[in-house]
Amino acid sequence: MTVTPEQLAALADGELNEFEAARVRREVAADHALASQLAQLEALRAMLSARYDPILAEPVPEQLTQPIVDTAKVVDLGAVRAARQRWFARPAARYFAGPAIAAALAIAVLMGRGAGPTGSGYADAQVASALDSSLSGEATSDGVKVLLSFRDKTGQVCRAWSGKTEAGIACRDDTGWKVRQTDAASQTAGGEYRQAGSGEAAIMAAAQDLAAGPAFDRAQEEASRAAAWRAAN
Amino acid sequence: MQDDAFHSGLTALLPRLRRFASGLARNPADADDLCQAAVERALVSRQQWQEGTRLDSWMYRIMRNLWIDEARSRTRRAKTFAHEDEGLNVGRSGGQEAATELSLVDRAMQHLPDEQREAVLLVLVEGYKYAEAAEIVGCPIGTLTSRLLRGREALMARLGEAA
Repeated sequence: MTVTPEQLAALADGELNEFEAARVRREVAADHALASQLAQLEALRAMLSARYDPILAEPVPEQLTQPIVDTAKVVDLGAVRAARQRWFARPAARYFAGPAIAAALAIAVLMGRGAGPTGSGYADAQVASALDSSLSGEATSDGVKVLLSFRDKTGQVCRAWSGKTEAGIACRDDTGWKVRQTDAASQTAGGEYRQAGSGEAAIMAAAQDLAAGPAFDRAQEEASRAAAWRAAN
Repeated sequence: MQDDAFHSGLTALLPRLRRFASGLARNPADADDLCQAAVERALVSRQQWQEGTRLDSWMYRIMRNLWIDEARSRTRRAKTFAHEDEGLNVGRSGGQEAATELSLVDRAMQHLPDEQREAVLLVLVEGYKYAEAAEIVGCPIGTLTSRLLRGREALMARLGEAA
């Protein structure tokens, strides 16, 4: 006999290439004993299918599906939190709900003393440098932190920042960062971090009034920075 | 999201995993316990699954490893107790003859060593190619095919009259 049990099984299991399969089939056709063995192999497969395949149609017990659902929920916690922030936002605050609340809560402002407002109407070098180069949420070594970016009704890119002595909003025009509004950071003794103060809250409220749309996400900020924050980017 | 794909993929695999577990375990309660343990292990080890590789092979491997570990410790304990909720996932087909035949298959399967039984299940029930089954088990193809051959011969010897 030139067909081994392994070869016969491989034929039944579809593991032979077409040339081998053709050869083994020829042998089987010419040998009743082989044909009978092949039929038994196929009968066994059918019996096993009849026993186990009906399980596929049964409903899956909740004890198996529930852990997967629970884990998926944990993974999506970020989405749940985002939804909650939207829910808490006042209608007037809808554009800035996520970023503004995140910024107001997360950004502790380094407080200082003295220092006057800028006289030119444009942001000073420290602030301008931060507005030019930083993405929102990044603190510079000068203690200036950009809170968020948005586009005003004329299409200019504006950015709100919080510094040691003041918080403000400036919009990029042909000359530089034109300051639209400033509020003094509330004073504390020493230079300690604290919850965002009334100055930042006022700036956030002003930003909402100036903005023509939602605050930039990170990708929008990066694109806008690449275009030097100019209106037609 | 990748996590969504992982979770939906895992959920979609559950019927097949239950079928495989039913073949490995000795009774329906053990089968669902095994299935649950495999799902929990997969969720905990999610980081070990490499994106782009087959989730089904990975899950089958987790389940058979759990079963082999469990089988070893069960041998040591040699425990014997009956589960009350037996029948939770027995294949439901009516008729006296069918029921008799099912129990014949069950008994024949239970006489096989674990290694032969999993080879039979992976290839003949789950439909894996020899190479895929060998990868799940973690053995050379030659080892897999010889276990399959011996398992199949033992089953046919027991079921010969019924076949």
